[in-house]
Amino acid sequence: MKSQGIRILVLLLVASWVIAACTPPPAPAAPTQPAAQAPATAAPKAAAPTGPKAGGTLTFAMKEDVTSLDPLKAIQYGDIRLNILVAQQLVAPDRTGKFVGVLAESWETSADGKTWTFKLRPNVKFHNGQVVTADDVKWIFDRILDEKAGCAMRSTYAGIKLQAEVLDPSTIRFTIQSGMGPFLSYLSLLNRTAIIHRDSYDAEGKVTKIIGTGPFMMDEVKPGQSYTLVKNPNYWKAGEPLLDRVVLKVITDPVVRLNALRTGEVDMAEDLPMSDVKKLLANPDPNFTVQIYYINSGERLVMNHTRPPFKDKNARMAVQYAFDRNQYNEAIFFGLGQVHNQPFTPDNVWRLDVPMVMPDLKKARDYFKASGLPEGTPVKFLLMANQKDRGEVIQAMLSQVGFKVEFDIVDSAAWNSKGQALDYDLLLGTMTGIFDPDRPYGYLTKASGGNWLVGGYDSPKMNELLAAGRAEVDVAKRKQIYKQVVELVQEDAATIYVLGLPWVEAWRNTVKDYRPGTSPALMMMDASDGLNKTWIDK
Amino acid sequence: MLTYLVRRALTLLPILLLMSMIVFALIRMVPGDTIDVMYGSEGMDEVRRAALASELGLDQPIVVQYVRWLWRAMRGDLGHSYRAGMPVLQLIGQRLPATLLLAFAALFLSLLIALPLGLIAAVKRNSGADIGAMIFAILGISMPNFWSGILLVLVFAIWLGWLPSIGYVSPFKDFFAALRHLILPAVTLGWSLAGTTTRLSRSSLLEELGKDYVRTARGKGLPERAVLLTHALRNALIPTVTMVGLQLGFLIGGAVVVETVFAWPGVGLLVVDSIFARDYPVVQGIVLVIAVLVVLINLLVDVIYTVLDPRIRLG
Repeated sequence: MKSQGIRILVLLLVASWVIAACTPPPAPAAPTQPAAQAPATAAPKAAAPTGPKAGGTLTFAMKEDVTSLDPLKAIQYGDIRLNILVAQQLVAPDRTGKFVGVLAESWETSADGKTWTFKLRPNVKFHNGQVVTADDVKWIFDRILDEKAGCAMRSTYAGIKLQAEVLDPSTIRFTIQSGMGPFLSYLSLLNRTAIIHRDSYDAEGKVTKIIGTGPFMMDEVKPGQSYTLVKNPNYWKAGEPLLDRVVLKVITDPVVRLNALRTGEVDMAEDLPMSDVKKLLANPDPNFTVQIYYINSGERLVMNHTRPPFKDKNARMAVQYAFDRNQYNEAIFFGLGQVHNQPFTPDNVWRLDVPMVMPDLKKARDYFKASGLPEGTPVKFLLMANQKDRGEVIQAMLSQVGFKVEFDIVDSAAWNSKGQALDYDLLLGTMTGIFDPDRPYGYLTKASGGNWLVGGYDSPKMNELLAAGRAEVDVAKRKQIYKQVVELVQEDAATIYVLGLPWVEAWRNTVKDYRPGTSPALMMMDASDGLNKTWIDK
Repeated sequence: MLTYLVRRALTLLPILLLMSMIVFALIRMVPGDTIDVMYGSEGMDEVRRAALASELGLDQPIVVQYVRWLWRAMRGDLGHSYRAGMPVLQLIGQRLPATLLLAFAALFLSLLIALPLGLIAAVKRNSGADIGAMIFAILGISMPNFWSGILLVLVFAIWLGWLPSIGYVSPFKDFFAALRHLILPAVTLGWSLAGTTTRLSRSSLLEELGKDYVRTARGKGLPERAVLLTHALRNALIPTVTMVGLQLGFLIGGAVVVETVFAWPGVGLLVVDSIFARDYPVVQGIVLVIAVLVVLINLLVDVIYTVLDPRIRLG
């Protein structure tokens, strides 16, 4: 009897080996190393070109669900993924970072930068058929400025005392308190000033269906499952879009997204597992293209300035010298990130010539000693569950200096809550949607709502520099100011800008003429027209 | 029996009330609130936080919030999801059919496998069939769902291309497509359930087979088939039915891993997402609905006991 059981066990083992041996062999090697700045692509051989075809449905696997349908309030990734296809702003950055008109046809500004006059594009219609007028634009700005509406840009616009005035049905003028260098970047920030029709709001001020001007209109909403959009037949760009429908399918697990792309159940997917991406770059899949690209974005290692041990500059300097960006990049991103000391891509106009502080264990130990902290000083690292691997790498680095890193792992809501209460010693923050240095460096002033994301850092010198950068309109002068900002960040070990994130998108061979845009959430639309000319060959 | 059922239904009310209080308080005790999740990742000023709190009704004392919620719930209104903006009942209504379909399919599949396997394993104790059945059972119990699910997707969806890897189709919309989408998640879940049920049905059948009434039945010359199926199996099924009832209760709210692997839009995933998002009305609503369903399933189990063993009387 025993021998029969053993035979069955052996049979099972053999069967599992046979299954493992049946794994499809990798495609012939076509090594494609990701370039430092340019997007890295793993694409199959192109078939004979055919012309664009109108019609069809594109299914996109998105990594996060939508949390708010109101573009004026929405700040989360999934929200913007959806609303960018449906609603548009006056201006938006193009692929080079230059601001171009979307709903605005043109604009002019006064010499002192205090008055901005926008001419609206003629005959642009909302999805309900009504023409966009300057009154509609003013209504949106009034709503944003309304204290009770809870809009994301209120404090920014209220801070510069913005006022909107209708000059005629197609002209609107904004007056602001002072010369505002980054004003256009605020107007175009992640669709938070989208011009949507007032009927998008119900009697209680909720948005259940966005009535925008974008190339696609909302059709069916299944929270947590899918968002179906249909073509806007009256889109202001003639002949666009080509697709009849876009289905945004919420698939939160990266492995599941990749599987669905492989089986063809989705046509496009974002954020695939990094280890698979690395393999796919080396051995492209014949059925789909994987592209990595780099945008202004950043991961930051944040130290809490308001309490020991990182209240002490020497302790922060010890971390700055102990932290090895390249090692971190290899361990977490398989070397596919772009290490940096400023959250701008190397070719960006705002990437300034400030040498990066390189890791130096001896210096790190010296600073640790100078701080007077005892060996094994405990450090509480606030992490979200999906950041644990990152935490472990940093834990190992800091243990070489004398810190004993302990994890406080929580979900994103608790992370936000504890973070805002500055209840941490270390945390890792990320940021995207960066078009102007005022946004990422703006956190470095105590007055900013995001100051907790740089550990409550407070420096009179930094405050002065940031105020000067915000008020200045001349780009060359602003560059000089922000160069000093980056230098001061390193001098004070205010925060550590770690690396630019590798953004991954992949699409099957049936998806044609897709061009990613300027920001992960904006890849599909905005001024980049990512999905407007895309068509599907099925 | 009717009196018993009515009495059980009435005892449900204080249970639901108490549970709603506990859930209401517990979810609010966890650090972080809806505002943090939906709007807070970049920090916000107090004016905005106050406006959003007032809009969501979070500026009221917790007792006022609870009484308002209870008052509406008693009239069949479980409120609106903070995130989705739609009524909670509508949101649950979108998800419940997928959950029930998967739960019953997995359970059906598990019973289809487990009962004959358990029977064979008990009857042919210590034979090759018994060992094979136990290996199958232990594999089902010990393999994590996420792993067996991904393995099945790899073989049947990616390599062979026979079945879809994700999604749910309503059987009322397209029956065969629904079936194709159902197979992999149902097999994944059903396999792990079958493991437990096989072991349980084997051991309870073995216990019954050793009892006096079985010896008597055999002694009076009943065919072995009748001894097994009419006498022993019937009694051996009582613990199995209890187990199945518990499993069904678990499946309705707890199949989160399988729902994630197959992007199956079920209630389990909704409740987890809602907890992470601190979408209080949805969490409260789902817990209430799941509790009602679990109690109803338990009632059903009680009724099945009386069918299996006429000595059992409800009342």
